[in-house]
Amino acid sequence: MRLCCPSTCPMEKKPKVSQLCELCHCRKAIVKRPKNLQKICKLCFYEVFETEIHNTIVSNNLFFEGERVAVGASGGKDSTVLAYVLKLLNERYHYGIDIVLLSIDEGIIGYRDDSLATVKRNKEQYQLPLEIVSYRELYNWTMDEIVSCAGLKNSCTYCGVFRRQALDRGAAKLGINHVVTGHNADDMAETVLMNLLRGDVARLEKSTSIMTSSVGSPIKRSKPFKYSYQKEIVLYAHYKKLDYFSTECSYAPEAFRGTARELMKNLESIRPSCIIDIIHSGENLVLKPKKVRKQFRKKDVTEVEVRSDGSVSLFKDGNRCERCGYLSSNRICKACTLLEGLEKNRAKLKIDTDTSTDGAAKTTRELEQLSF
Amino acid sequence: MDTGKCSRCKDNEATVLSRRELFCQDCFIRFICGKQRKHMGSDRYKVKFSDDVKREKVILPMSYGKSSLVLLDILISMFEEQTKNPRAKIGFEVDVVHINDSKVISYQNEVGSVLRKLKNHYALEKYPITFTDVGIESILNTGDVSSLTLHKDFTSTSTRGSSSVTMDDIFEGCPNRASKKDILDVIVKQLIERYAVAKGATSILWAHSMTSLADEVIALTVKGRGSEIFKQLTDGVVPFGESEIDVVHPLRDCSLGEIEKFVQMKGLEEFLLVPSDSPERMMNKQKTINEVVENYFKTVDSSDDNIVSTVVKTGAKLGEPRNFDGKVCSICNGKIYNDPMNWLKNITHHSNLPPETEVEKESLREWLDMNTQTGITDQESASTNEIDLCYGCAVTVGGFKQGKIEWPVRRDAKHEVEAILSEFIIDEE
Repeated sequence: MRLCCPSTCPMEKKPKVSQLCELCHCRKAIVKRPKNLQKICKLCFYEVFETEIHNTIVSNNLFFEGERVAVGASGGKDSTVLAYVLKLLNERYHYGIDIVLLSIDEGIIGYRDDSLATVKRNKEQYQLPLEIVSYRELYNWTMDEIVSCAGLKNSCTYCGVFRRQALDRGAAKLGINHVVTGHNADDMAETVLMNLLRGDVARLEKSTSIMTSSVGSPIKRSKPFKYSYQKEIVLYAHYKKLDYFSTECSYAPEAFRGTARELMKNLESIRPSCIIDIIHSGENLVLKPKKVRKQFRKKDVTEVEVRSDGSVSLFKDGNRCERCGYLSSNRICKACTLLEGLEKNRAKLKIDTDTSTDGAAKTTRELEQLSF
Repeated sequence: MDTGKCSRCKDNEATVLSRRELFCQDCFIRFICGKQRKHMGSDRYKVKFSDDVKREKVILPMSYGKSSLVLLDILISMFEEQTKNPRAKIGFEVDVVHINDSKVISYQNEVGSVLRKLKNHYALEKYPITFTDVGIESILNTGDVSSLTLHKDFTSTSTRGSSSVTMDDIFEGCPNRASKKDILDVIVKQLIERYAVAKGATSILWAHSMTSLADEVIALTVKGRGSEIFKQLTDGVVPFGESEIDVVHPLRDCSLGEIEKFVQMKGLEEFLLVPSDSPERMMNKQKTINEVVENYFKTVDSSDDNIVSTVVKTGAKLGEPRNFDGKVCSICNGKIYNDPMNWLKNITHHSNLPPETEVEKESLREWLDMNTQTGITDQESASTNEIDLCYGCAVTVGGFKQGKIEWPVRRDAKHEVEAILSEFIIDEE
């Protein structure tokens, strides 16, 4: 037996049999696993958490040897754990992939600059290269300016559309064809519920797919955390003492997603497995075949649907935006449409050293720094 | 509410505001009846003129809740209409079937007294309506009662159990109200369908309102039964074994709010069967999944019925999943798609890290000693058969104590018809 003093080495104190881990039956259980409420020890928790992600990666053939992969890194817990685990698994199982951190700077003073500082520290900690792409350089707008121009209510619409494109552009700039994001099981389940609640039929079938790619786009996206519970990611980050940024975005969280999240929380307290159950349901949602009314369709006439906002639907995978060349299902992509609206409302004159566009986050940070 | 004239008859004072329209009482009742008529417009339910025509046999599952009472009321009014023409004959007969679950759920009042009041209220003898009470325990006669176990590796087995199993035994390992409700739902549905087949019924009329259908869509999703939504929401002729039955939800366009107003106007409250539990006073953990979803809709959908109707419309666009495995669930008899247990196996990892230090090795030895003595480790007996479970049922059983449930496993399909006949036919004609 190893000689050590019990006071300095608590691990060596023998636990009661009733306290033992339900998997290895030899170490004291310290975590109740959120996924199935199994009481397990720290080492077994690491083992199951990492191996489940590895299994997801292998069974879905997410990577190929020699592939360069960009991790969408926000500095938050999901992407930090993702970068850490991917690096670890890459070394352990020899995927042979080349990992790069890719961050988007939306330009939210007091929020994104702090979280980017975390990503910069992660870059050093994990020895991974980092690329930052900003809304300012891509669109000549920051989120703070967008909110002061278009209001708080639609902030997530703008931010979401722009970020999606920014990630692709950032990856393209680095010559990388694969972006992995930290979307976890909770996010997936939430999306399934939201698509049902909003009646988003177009997204219903594909909302749970682990990898999305389009014929016209060289850049594919994948979600290795698809089956990982958010709570387990938090626990993992906590026990591994990972350095992450834990503040929520200071702009209004999407109100509707908030209610769906609340619903899921209530459901989870009744049945912890419900997150995986919802994903399972989501994977089995199939739309009925559309009824084609033949008598109204003339042959050899290509119909073009004009939407209420004047955009034109093309139904062609791989179509490109006429203005920016980005992948789009319309003649003009959503980001360009949004930008056009924003430009129309941009103030013609601007005061020098104007700080009025700075968001709430900056004020909060300034207030935090006050002391007596 | 701003008062004014009813927007339909332009005569009476309006008493209800529904879908941004003002109604007087009569017009509102007519409006709701119209919704039901729309879904029961097929020839099967119309009056018949020939003498030798066989009436359609219609099953109305009745919980004595608000919507089923409203549907019964509307059906009676339909009969009334159909008897107005002296040459016409009523087109269908209704068997009101109540699955009596008072042995497992407590109620403030009892079905017998409700039924007596109901019979006094309507002049039922004029119409072809019968009332049937099916005890929930009759599910035990539908198969060979066995002990079903879901193992940690997601395989499941059945062991032939004793014949003296009661309803209490089925619910014994149940962890909470939510799981109890899951099993009850499966039982009620199975009993109704079996009853309909046994009676040679041609239609089943489910009284779900739009709100409860929306609850179902979300609740089924949450329970991992997403593949069943299409079945729940598609009206039409469905094969049940060798027979075909028209399944209709006549109130699918009416919200719960409208149903409640209808109940109030017609004074149907006295016929309600009221459960003793009221979910409003419960903690979240004690609620069933359907109750949580219901509550969600109440908070989100206070002004319009937009979300509720969106959910129902979306659900109705769903079809049957691909990749039917050719297997049927031993509990709910539903089709199993995409090998769910293998899916679970792939995303769940159970391995462990072996002991390293002496203390850890000793702990493991101690654990092994204790657990081989008490026999907790899985020991398979000779009479164990492998069975198939669908994802939803596996989740429910997995929550039960030791993953075990007593359940009447259906005999194979060939014996099915005989079993049903012997179970329900009391006297051959």
